[in-house]
Amino acid sequence: MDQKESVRDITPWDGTLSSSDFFSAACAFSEKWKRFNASVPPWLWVPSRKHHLLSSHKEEGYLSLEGMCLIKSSEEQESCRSQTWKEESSISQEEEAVENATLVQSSCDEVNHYDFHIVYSPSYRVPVLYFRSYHSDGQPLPFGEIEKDLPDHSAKIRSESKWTFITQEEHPYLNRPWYKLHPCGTSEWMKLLFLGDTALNKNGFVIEHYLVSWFSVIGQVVGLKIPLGMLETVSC
Amino acid sequence: MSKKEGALLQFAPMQSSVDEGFWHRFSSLKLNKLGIDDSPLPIIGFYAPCSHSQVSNHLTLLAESLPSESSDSSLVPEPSSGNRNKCSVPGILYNTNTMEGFHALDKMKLLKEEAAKIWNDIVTGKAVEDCSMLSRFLLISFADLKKWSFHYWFAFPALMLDPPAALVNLRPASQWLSAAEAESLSTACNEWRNSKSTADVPFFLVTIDPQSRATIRLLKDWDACQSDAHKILFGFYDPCHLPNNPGWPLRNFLALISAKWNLKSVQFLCYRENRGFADMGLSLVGEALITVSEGWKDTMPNAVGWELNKGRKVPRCISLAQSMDPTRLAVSAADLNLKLMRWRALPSLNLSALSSVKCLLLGAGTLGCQVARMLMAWGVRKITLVDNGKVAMSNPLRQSLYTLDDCLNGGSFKATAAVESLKRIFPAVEAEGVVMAIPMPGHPVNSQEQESVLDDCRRLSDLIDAHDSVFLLTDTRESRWLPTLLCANTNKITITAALGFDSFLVMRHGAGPFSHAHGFNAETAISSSSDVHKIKDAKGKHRLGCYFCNDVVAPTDSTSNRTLDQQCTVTRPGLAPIASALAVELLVSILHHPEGIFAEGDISSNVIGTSEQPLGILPHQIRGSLAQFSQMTLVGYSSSSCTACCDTVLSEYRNKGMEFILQAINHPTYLEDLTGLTELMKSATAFSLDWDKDDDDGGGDEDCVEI
Repeated sequence: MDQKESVRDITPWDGTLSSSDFFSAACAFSEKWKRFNASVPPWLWVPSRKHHLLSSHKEEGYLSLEGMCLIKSSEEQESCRSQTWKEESSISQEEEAVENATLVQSSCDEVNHYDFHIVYSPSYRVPVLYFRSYHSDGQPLPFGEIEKDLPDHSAKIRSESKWTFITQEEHPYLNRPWYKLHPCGTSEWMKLLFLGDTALNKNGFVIEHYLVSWFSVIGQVVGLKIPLGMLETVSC
Repeated sequence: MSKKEGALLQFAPMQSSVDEGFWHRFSSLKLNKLGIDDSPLPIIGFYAPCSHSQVSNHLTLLAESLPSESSDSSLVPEPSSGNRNKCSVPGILYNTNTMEGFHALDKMKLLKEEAAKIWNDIVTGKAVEDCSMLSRFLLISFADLKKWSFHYWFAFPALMLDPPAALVNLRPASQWLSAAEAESLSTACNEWRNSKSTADVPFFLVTIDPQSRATIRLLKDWDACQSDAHKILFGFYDPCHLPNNPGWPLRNFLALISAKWNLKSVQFLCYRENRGFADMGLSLVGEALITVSEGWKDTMPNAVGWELNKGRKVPRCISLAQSMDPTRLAVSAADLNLKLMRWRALPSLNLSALSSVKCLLLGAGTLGCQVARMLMAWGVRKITLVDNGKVAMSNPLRQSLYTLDDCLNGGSFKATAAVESLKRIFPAVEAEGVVMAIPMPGHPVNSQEQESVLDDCRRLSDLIDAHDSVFLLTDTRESRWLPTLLCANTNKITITAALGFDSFLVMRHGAGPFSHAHGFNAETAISSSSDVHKIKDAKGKHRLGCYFCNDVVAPTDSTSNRTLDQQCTVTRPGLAPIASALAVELLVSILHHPEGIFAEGDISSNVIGTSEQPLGILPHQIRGSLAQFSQMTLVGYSSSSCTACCDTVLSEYRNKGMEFILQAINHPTYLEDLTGLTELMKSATAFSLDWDKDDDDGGGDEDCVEI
């Protein structure tokens, strides 16, 4: 690792970071997020272990932000989710004790729950945003539904930029299909983001601000805002 | 003491939420461990106090709600403890093996059994020791592991007070408490919630002393709380967010309080949070009046609790086929691959054209197997293979769809084995196999065979009509004649691949002399005496040649062309994959060219980037040599005397139909007389060796031509 750090000082940076740098960057990011974004759930580090041949990393895992709720008004509710059940598996009025102590709600707002994970990709050497959405009862949302929740400019970004598109792939730790923003262009635009920064060659700087800068771009695609306070560079 | 009255106390029902991971793990458990065993399974549910002013928390099931799959563990899930966001409550799962079984479950009986457990825990005092028992729940389900859909129904048993409790008042805690009390209580709650030993204890006692100090205690410390000076609140984690109703856990809590401590008036605290901290504005304090009779606690009370589904007493269903069905996952992975290609490198890639094109492969040998695989890699889904041979012992080495199993017991039919192999590779392929021989000119048939040969001709004609693109991948020249004619007649995209010992030819046939779009008819074509018309297609351009046009027009010597097919069964192994790959790439290029089959033939040049098309040039012919490791592109135009695609021949076919075909097959000189050629006759009667000694099943075999 030492050799790598010195190399980075000399040669132009390629926009990527190592796995252990990711851990440091993740800690810095979640710290700042808690400080500047207290009204939103925090990013938590989830330590995980994959069956690696070379897993010596104690700090292997991913950042998780779960339980973002998007409340949909009743007009937007989809009726296609309702099942037409025959009465063969219901409970007749006589069977269950008649009682009035249960509150019966006439209409319920539908809520879309979102979970976001920031996972390190060893092959691209960049962080990747994974996300999924589900209704309150657990039923996963299809992408068509998620797309309605994304901000308007998200579709614009995704169609214009050849670097930003959403695919569905297996989550590296949970072994289930999650949606993700494909990482193939990440290193390219990360390079551009840090271009012109005089402090570029200082390793600590890059690592500390990597995820914040990365998220300022990625977050837009999924509608997660990053407060300006986080973007200001901390001079220490 | 004034008698207080109140309105009926109405509780917000508990709501369930099942994470996908629960169903994934349950399916795995069922498939690997449980099998058809449908005995009840203990599970763990999780809930936490409400943390959002507009969204209630749910009783959640996760993957860890189920026992792990390792063989040495008992079928009991590992309890988690100390997690403030996951208060564990015990539950039981009844999963049936059939839909009928699911409907037939006695729901009232099951609810009563679980309610009885709660009542028993209350009466014996166990619930005071471990209060999470109060929120015990029941889940019935039917997991349909073929369709990956799960039918399920939760019940949250609640013991009924008779008569029901009345609500005297209910308001935010911040209004009921003084400022000092509220602050003290918040602090106490936050400590309670941050301490690993109490974070997940969902029922507790709150005492507030005259100095406004709040203390939180476990239920078993009830006696220690007895002091007139203190205010006592019965607190519980309330998942509900509603401002006017307490959550479901209060029901069994009140039953406990009445049965154990005989209280008539209960001050309760619906504990709720905001962003992880105690929130006295969201939390509610209320007073309930219990007016049950003396003997109420002597018998088990009635219970309610089946969860409603959008207001109706019916089960719920969740479909996870999208994320669990392996075939669907394979399809979406394949689509992703192609989409990535389009996004990153080739924005004009027409994926829908590729997935909808219908390809007919004549021949399922070395070329056919490779072409089929390459087509699938490009996203082509509709593939038909025609071959009348059986898989021979030497085939699996060079014919990439077959394995040794296909050779046993005399060998499976290639067309059938190929289709099965394709489906094993990619289940969503729409592949069909046709076991059929292709009739060939110069191979006369006797009167007995005539009808069946005519049948084959018609069948071939129908097959060609039903597809968009035809690959000629047989290993004799003669077998290519009839398909070429039929394709030229219907303007189908036709691609030929032919192998020599160390050389290959891959080419696309030009458009036929007629075009349906222009309504050209046979009479007009024949009556035209102009030579120009005979070699031009309906668009007036020079038609590119077909495989048989080359015989006359190509400037190479015809002997090397003749030997091409005769030696094709002995070829350098590398040739077939190369030629097959080029054949498929050629098709993809045609499909992306705006003029399609009418496109002119390009020749590769040294100047890079001269092509206007994103996929590059669209050649007519590609001839390669392994001896030279070289490859060149050529253009050949159609011949007016071509035995397969000239308008004379095609008009004759259009006029006489099958009769014409039969004559061509039976009389070797017929075609040459018609077109004035002698070359074809020489080739048709030449002796072709069959090198494949293993499938010696006699005549009608495409691999050899008998004199």
